[in-house]
Amino acid sequence: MSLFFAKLWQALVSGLSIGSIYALIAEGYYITFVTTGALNFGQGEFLMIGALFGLTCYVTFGLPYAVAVIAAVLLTGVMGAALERGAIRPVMRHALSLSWVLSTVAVSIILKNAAVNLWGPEQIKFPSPFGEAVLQIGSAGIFPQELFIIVAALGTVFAVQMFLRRSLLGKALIAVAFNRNAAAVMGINVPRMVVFAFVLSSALAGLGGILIAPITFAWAYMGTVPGIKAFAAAIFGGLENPIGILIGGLVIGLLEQLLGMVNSNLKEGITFFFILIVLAIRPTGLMGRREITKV
Amino acid sequence: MSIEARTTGLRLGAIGIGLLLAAVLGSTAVAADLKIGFTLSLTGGTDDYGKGARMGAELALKEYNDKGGYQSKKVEAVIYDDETKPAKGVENVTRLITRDKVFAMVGPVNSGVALAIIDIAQKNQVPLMDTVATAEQIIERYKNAPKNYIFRVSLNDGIQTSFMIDYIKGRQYQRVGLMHDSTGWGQSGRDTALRLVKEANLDLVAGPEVFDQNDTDMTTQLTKMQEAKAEFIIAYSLAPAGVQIAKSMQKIGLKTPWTGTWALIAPNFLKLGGKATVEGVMAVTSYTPDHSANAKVLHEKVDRIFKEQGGDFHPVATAQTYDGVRLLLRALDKVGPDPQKIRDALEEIDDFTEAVTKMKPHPFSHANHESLGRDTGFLAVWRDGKLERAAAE
Repeated sequence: MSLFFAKLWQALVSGLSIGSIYALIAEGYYITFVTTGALNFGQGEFLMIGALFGLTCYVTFGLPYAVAVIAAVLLTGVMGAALERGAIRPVMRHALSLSWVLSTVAVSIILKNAAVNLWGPEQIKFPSPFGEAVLQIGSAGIFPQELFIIVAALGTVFAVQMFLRRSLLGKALIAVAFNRNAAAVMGINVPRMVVFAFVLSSALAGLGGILIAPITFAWAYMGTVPGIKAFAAAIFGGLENPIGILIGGLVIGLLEQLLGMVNSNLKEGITFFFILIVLAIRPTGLMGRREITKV
Repeated sequence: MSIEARTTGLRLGAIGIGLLLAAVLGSTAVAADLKIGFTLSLTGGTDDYGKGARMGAELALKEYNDKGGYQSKKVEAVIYDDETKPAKGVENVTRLITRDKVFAMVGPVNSGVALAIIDIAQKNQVPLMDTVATAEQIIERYKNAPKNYIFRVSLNDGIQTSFMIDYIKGRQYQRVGLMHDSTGWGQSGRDTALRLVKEANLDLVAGPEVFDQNDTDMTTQLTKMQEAKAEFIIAYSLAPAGVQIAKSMQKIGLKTPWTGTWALIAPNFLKLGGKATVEGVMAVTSYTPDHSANAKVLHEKVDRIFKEQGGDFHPVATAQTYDGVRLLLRALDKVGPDPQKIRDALEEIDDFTEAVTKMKPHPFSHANHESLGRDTGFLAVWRDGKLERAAAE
């Protein structure tokens, strides 16, 4: 029995680390969805760019990890602004237009291609700044980087929430999300806020990339699966509820590991089957029915 | 586009396809040009092997041509990238046979590509030397044909697994665990291992456990190995997932010895994992840079000539292709650039003493197109960033 709990503990620790990355990226979907009704289906590729650009800064140029993190976040943030101006705004003129689905997917394919040409198709080692010695937490082993991922990702999710609720800029963003026209009447520059939403969303993905690269390696195709799983987390948790999304990300990460204890062949199938059941019962997601925070 | 234009287009297309087919089927065996054709993965997941193979081929041809070539004519390499895609491999081989009129072909790297192209080589009666791909069916498909045009200088999957079984037997382990990735290659490896473990009367106590080749955490699979008290683990995994297995073993403190196929001798495995992580991991090989005097010479040459290309791809792919191309050139010397005669001559070569792999001086015969057999490989182990032969008992 004690071995069972040891296994369970290991699965929880491992699941928490990957789940917090899903949550981090999924919050990015939330921010742009509530402000514009659009999602960036290239979130996974922004994550990849964050990782590879971070790798170039950290390994090739030998900059400190913190500087590489900031550089990756800045670059993906700027790319988010470019995405909004280049691929979202031009196709969003019609209120019901779904062209942004294709335009964001198009950007993601272009980014993948560009990355293969710049960094090659192979996995590249991203050395962890915290070393490679395993830490013991009870009976479970964890790499320092994984611990850092949990702290940094969850910390960022909470920091973004605080920012949205407390700061003037954050409140303006929430106001746009709540009622675009009223926000405009109140003197908020709506188009600028929309750009800002994409900057924030993309920067979160970029941060996720440089955080997980020491665990997953950095490579051109690294973003596809986390992008999809984070999307699942966002829908599963409730696309308009940041707390629901956080829970959604963690649940998906944990489910995969826990189901892997039972049968490694079926873990992903069963995870997504579970999501289907939850969506059938609660079509707007686990916590989707609640109202978004009032300003 | 009007309907007329469209039918005209269709008709033209049909004529084009017809011409292409005629060209493929009608190409006769007389090839005047001195060309060897290659289809290799130079991009895609297994490009390390393809680049390694290309080095071996270029080196073999350079040495041959420097010595005067064939009747003072140079032999040329025509190298196409198949991008690790079967359809692209088919296109390459068709082009090599019909347009480039090569007298022999070498490649590919990927077994999926190989199984798609061997039919074309066989039908057109142009010998194909597989120097990397490992699926057993590549040689077996035409084993009973009057003339098999497919030859191999590589360790097939069954032979690779048999080295693992030999090692397990030698160490007197009884309890075996099995893991594999979810690709077609991983699944066929699993089937081979299940068969051989059973034949050897070993107990499969854990697995087969599956993982995705991009999974980053294998602790759940490995905990099962730990619980079942497996004494040895066989893992069909490419280099990136192999690193994740090693790391996850560190996490749960599992020290069970384990081996992969020759995928884990790739330099990429060391690069991704680092010295400390790969320490003690085993892998199948037919070659280490110092297992024979010939191998040592080759290794020094590769180091010197290809240094500026980052000459560190896959040493075994280089060695096997070096031998495979030299066998074709030996056959060329004997019978001239006629694909069918070259095929026959390959079966008769019995004085190939300069091999860098462990093949015999008479590597092929009518019944046997596998030059590397049960006695030509072994398990190597990573020690301090280098591969050593693993002690068998």
